[in-house]
Amino acid sequence: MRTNNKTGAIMVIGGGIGGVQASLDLAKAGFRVYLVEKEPTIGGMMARLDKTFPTNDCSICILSPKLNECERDINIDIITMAELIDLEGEPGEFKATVKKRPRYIDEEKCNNCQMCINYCPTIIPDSYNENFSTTKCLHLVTPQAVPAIPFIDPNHCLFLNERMCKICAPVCKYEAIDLYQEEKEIALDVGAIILAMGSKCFDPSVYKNYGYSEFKNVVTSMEFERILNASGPYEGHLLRPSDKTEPKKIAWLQCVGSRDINRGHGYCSSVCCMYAIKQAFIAREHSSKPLDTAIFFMDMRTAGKDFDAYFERAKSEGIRFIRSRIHTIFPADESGDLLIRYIDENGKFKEEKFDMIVLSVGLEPKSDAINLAKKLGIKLNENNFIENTSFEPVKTSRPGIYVCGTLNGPKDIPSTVAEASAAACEAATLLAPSRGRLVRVKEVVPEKDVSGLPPRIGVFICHCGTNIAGVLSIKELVEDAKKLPNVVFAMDNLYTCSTDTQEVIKEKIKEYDLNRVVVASCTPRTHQPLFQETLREAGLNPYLFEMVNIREHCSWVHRKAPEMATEKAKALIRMGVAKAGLLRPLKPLSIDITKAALVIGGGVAGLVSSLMIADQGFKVYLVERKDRLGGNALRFHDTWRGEDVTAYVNGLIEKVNGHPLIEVFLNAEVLNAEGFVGNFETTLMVKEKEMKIRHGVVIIATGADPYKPKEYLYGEHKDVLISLEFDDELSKRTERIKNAKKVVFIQCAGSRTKERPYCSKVCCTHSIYGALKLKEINPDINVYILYREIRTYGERERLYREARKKGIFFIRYSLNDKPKVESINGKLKVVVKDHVLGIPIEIHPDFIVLASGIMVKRENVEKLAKLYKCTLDDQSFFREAHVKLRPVESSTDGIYIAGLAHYPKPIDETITQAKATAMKAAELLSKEKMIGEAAIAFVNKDLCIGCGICTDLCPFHAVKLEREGKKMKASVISASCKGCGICAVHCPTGAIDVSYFTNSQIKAQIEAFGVKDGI
Amino acid sequence: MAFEPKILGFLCNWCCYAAADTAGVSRFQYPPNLKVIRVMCSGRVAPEFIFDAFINGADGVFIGGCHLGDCQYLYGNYEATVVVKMSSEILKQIGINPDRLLLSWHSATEGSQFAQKISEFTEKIRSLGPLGESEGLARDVVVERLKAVIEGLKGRKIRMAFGKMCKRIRGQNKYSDKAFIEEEINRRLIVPIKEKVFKGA
Repeated sequence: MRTNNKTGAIMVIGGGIGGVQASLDLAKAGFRVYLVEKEPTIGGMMARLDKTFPTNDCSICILSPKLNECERDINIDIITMAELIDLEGEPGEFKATVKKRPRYIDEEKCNNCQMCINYCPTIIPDSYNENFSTTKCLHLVTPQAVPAIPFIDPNHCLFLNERMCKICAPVCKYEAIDLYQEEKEIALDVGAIILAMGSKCFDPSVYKNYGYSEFKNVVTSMEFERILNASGPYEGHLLRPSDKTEPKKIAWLQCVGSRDINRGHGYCSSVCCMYAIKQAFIAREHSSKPLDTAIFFMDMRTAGKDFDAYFERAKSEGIRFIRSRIHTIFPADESGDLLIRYIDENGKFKEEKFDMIVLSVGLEPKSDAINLAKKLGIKLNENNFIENTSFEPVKTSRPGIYVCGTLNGPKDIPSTVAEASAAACEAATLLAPSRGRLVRVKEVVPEKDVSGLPPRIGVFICHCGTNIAGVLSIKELVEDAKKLPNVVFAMDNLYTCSTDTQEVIKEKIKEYDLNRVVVASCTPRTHQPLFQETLREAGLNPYLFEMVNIREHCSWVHRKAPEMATEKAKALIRMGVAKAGLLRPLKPLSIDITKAALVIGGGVAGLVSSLMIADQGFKVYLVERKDRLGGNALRFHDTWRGEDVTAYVNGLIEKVNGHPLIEVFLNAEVLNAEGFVGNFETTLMVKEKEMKIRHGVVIIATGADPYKPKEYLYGEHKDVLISLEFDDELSKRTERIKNAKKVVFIQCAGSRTKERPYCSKVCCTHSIYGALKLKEINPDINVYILYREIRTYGERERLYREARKKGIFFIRYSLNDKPKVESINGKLKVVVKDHVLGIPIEIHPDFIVLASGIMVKRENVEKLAKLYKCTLDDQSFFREAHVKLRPVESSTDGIYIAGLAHYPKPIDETITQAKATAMKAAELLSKEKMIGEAAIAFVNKDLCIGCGICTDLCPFHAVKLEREGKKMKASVISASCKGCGICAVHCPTGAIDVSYFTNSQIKAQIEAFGVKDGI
Repeated sequence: MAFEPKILGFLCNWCCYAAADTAGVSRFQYPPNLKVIRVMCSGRVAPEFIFDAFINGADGVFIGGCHLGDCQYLYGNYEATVVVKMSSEILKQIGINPDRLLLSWHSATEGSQFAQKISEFTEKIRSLGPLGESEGLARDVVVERLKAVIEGLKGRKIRMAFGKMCKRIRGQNKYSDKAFIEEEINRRLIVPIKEKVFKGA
């Protein structure tokens, strides 16, 4: 056997949410990651969005922590302004060459004091804000940029273009500006590559009738995101570009560049319906007066989890939805107002005036991504997205190269995140033998014992060039700090965060025997980890540190009142020192991990998840309630692309049964479960026998059931079938199928109703696929699809186009005027109102197929959810930890969710989620020990009365009651606690408190605040 | 010397503290009267912190968290709404203008909104004058009452009632039901606290 030469490193190309997620997953699972980003900062398209649907969460707020985590991870090297130019070798042993463009700023030397930016004389349009505002030629892309290093735009720099200026260079005290910096090539050995280069917005200028290039108040949806954004060109004020006045009427035009084979793209971009609704919601929130919002659309494709409810809410809150085709946009008059001429659903021409129009532009692959794919010999599909299959959704045609996100077809953020984890899983599986081989490990310095010693505090006050010192009197601050209780040393530094100052801090800790350190400089949200690292290197526990923010919260915001600002800074330092005196060393708990996974459910999701976990070398227990594996997929035959599901599922079952690391339990159910992340003990009932298994993680893949309609004569008439029954007959080519002359499909039979207010996502595609098959068997057949909206999202739109071309009839009905099905002498009659003609039409089909939707029976999952402390939504689907960024994790650590148990979805998305859960499982199982948070809750058992208020109020189920002698006492599950402190606020006896933010520490800060001073 | 209000702010690490950072990066100016204590979650702010801040010279107290639904800890900011509602009620009962306590949501990008909110709050407190002035209460009376409140809040019975009330609100998901919360606060907390504070007065 060949020895393993695989390289334990992965290159991720593209630093948007997909690339960032894949990088974090891989680094956590024991691999080195090179994150190659073309732009000067990571974050991609998501960083530029204002809010995200369907929760209206702030986009950058939820993304920023991930970006910072990426930057801090010592196993992720972020290589910005770079692209892959050459790749040689084999999967597992690639040799990659990356070209890095000059930033003209030395990334090692720069500490982002931003002094240079102040001096740069060249003002340029800010492309980050879609050119609605200006910035400097030397600038930081955004205040939240990661890495937080400015760059020089070579297209505008006076020196680079005309050899004049050069003002910036001498300003930098660290000589970080290098205007002679050149492009360089970096050679990297990597085992696998993940393409995560995303997509770009369609350029609507090709639609001359929309006048995008002509009319200022016609903007793209991305431009509108920036207009809405608080960091955008208008600081979040809803203004229109032409005259900066507040619009009273805004229209959104859907499908600009999507579902249009002539000028745009044939596919549906999947995200525009939802983001248009979101923008309408947010615009109304931002508007000082009532705002009229209208969305002009063809079909509203709100098929994802909680999306339909969002759509319904939008309608009920007065957002107008106008089913139409747009003819032209033209100016109403000189004012900048615009007229939309459109054809309504009855075929009539209409006109309406708006103050502003947003074009909901679609997504398309970027040319550099297309070029790279071609260069790497990776196949693209007809839309220039990466070609994949339903069963291998994240593999490209070239082994060892994987793909995620919108480069792999248009999709939203949660689908991108799931794909990112799935792609990471593929890479981690390929390179499993080399896991841990290239990781960097932090050097451990023995920690000094400070217990019982009186506090000896050192205070370091930063000038930050002139950022702080230009406003505050640093001299006064140092003098004042020296007089504070427990302070034995205080000094100022030009830049406290610079590398040389770290050495100074370490020396002073030694020289003055400091056992607490306070740094007064910028925000702890970015810089605290750096200083904590310095303490660690000096042998002090990193929690003996407190940071005081005198830049963002003081000098930068009180420039007009330097004296009062100095007094404020004194108070802030005084408060920091007061807290520091009470700091205690904290040790995160390290816990052994049971290296096994429990997978519940033996359908496609459970099978794939089991295989991917086992292929990475971990033990899997697979539990299935029925007597055979395969689940719902056993009843399917083809995917929408015609791939053979039966063969695929049988292949999976064979692999699972033959895998040495997978133990399968059929006829088995979960009876009881105890423990928490890393160490669960589950009791199974297997064929009436109880058995206990120990495992570190749980994958919930319990699937769902087909809904059985109680209408349309289902169950009463033999010729009324549900989709699965029809599939079965279709695959067997029964007489009924072969002889049919007229067939009716009724969509939304049980979906999008009052009882089940969600879209089952798969039915439109499924019915159209079946209808096309019928046409194939008998081209003369008449097929009618009665629908409410056709939701062939993404590239599935191809089927819809084909169906219309082949003459399948589509008749739209509404929920309050549903088709009527009757049996007359045993013959079926369907009456439905034609949406164009407005008159009822009668069809006498040979049979009817009900697209019956997907549902979960509450009794099937309720107990499981309770045992593993997961939450179910109103429809009994498992709730994810975060709808956008943690789509396959439950809010309880160590429990992951895949497939239909989470929400209805097609098989490719189920497989993606299954692989994503396998990655999440491997992240945990690949570790020897689990390191918990250090700043968490703790209990003083003497004070605890066992009332259980903390156990009930903890959002993470991290406090439990335990019997101690005759009494119940609270005890914190360190592995689950996140340190919010809600328990500490509500404890009746003060028995529970939270480290690093203890009651006494906060009280000390409040008292220090109260010491008399100028303000 | 003209009156300069003293304001203490408790800002949650994830959103409001970040909004204050963004205000800094964007150089949105606001008055320097606010001093900040960073907490991980607005749900970490105990009622006694608020009263303690007033005792220690604050003329106004500001609590800033994530927008509802955005809490890093799922329920923290909802818990903060209850704590602030209850604290405002108590302030009212002991004769202190509850406008001196402000709860506000700011996402990380809302730097300008944060700066504006702090400017407005500072002006509001300036217009109210030092703690007790607009209330027509002498400083020592105010402090005495606040101390009595803190003492009252230490009582196990009241603490239990407070904890149980929050459990009920969470259990029945009544965070947006103002009437329910007010009723709960008045019935279970205000009466016993008032008894403590005005005992013998």
